[in-house]
Amino acid sequence: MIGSPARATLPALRVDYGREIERDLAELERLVCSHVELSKWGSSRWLAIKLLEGDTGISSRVRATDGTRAILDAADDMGERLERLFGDDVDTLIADMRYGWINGLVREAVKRPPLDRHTVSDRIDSLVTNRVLGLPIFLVAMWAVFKLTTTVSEPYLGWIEGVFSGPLTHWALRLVDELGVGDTWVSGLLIDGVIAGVGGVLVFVPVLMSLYLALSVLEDSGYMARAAFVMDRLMRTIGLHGKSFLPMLVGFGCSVPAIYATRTLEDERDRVLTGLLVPFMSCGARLPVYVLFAAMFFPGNPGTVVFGMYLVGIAIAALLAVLLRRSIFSVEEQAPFVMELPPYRLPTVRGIVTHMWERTSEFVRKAWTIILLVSVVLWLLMAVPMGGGAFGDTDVDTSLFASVSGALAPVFAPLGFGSWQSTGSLVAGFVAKEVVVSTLAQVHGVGEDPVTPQVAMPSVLDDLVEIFTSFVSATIDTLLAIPSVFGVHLVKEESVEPSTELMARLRADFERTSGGHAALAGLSFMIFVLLYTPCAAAVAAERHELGGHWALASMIGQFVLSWVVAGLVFQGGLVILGS
Amino acid sequence: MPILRQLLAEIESAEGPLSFRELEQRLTVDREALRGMVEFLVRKGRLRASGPGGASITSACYGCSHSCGDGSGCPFVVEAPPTIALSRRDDS
Repeated sequence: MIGSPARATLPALRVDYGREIERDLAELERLVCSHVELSKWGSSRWLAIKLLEGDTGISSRVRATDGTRAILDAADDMGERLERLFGDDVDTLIADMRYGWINGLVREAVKRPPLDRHTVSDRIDSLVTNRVLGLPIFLVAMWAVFKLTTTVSEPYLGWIEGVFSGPLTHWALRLVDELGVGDTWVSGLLIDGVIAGVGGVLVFVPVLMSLYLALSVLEDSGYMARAAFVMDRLMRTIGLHGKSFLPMLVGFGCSVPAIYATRTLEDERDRVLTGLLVPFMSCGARLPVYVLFAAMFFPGNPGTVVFGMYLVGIAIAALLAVLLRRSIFSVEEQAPFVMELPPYRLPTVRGIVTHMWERTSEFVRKAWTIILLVSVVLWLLMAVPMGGGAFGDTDVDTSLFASVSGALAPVFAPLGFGSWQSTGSLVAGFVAKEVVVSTLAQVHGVGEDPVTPQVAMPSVLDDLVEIFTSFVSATIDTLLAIPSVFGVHLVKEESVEPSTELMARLRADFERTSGGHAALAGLSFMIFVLLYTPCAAAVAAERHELGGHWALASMIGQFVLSWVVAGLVFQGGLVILGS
Repeated sequence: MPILRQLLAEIESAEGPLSFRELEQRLTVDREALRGMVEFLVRKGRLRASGPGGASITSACYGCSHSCGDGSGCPFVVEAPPTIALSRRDDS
């Protein structure tokens, strides 16, 4: 039974700071009480503690009071004595005793129900940050992301391609006819350069949207923080700093900010090493190449192949990290750390859509600038005749671009894709990986002669209806395809034959250059795209952040590595296949 | 061993990163009390706190339409969870 408030007496809450500190506190209390002014300030024990701790605010107020010099000197002497005795700052000693006392008090006085002690976040964390299960769970999560990405985006990919090669091309043709330049090179530049080039890349916008959507869900839910926690152990195992995970993760979006993100690493060797490895993380611009080639050569499991490319990049970065750390980047053991994991949250639709849109729009913006510029330059190079003919009216096989690319093509012959078309796309890809697919579309003449004069063009209304109905159809196909991520197939699998004009032409080209091993050459091409320089901007970022010599070493190293690994894949594959 | 020294010893002897939850369990302390201890040690310079935050990006990030500043405007930057590490001798 609780007594009335008037009679209730609370036990004095007094922290025992131990014999030595208490002795000094008692002496300081005595001095404080003997001072006329200080004795009126309130608790003399509290003031004594503050003076012993060396609290700057309190000490300066005391110093401003007359006749306190002896008290302050005594506090200083006591502090020095205690520091010598215990080998630590007095305020740390006092805080230590105080926290110990608080901890004991909480343990004695607070009884929490078991459910309170372990929140839902704690229980999920015990699984997803588990030392054994954490990494497999992370890999499964990332596999699901890429499987979902390819599954969800595939129908929309066909839809956008149809819009570009159909209605948009029709409207461009009408426009050039209206302007009276329908039969000139301007028509070729617009249709074969701009629309085929930019359209060839924009068809992959749904792929990127799906990827960024899935990654945003993982980020906003709080799972990515757990992934950083889990990956830290792996990072240390391979000799990287735990913080290297962040630039690596950013590298899956874009290599350029990822290279700048290495600034979070304090040690220069950690920073340079991470900066050199970041380009091996597959950026978003490489994804269209993977998706195209995986759908073309591995139609049974495109999602798994794409995921595999990401894993190959990670594995090669890990291998290089081990080699470089044991040679030119050796450092001391890293200090362990504590990570504050945020509670899990239910992602908001607005947050996810904002993330997805910002990242995808950056890609689209590039498509209208760099890709448009490169596409136009490429078209011009392809319009310059080298073996007769007029400007804009020459066979692309005899163009300036074909001649230059053809001179470099033998370098790639041992890798299985030594055609001038593939070589040309890789040369353009050095500027930006976004243009590899668009260049392939241009050099293979995709989208040319879309409408023959004998066939009447559909009306604008017909085109608009076609755009709408094909969009609805793509949406239905996507919804039906989602359960297949989890192994439930609601629709029959598509035919394995290439479904687009570009795929058909690429397959024929790779069959020819690989001696009938197109899939192997396709895999080799994907590996090469994965490992060689991501883009000119990434080289500039490396030069800015790591220095010119590291940027040059990185560029040359990446080219040599990509050539060797792609060669091993193709030539090794031929040996295994017995060809 | 006094609790603050015990806390520093746990971090020092950890093989890999620790979560606050793990540290809370190892020291058998309340989460809020642990937070207070960590804040005190950060103030004292015994521990270093970093984040939350992403990378430090500059406007030199070529080809991007965003004005990144401290990195918060970059759509590709992922926010890192805050971490607490032991201070190195040369930090102070």
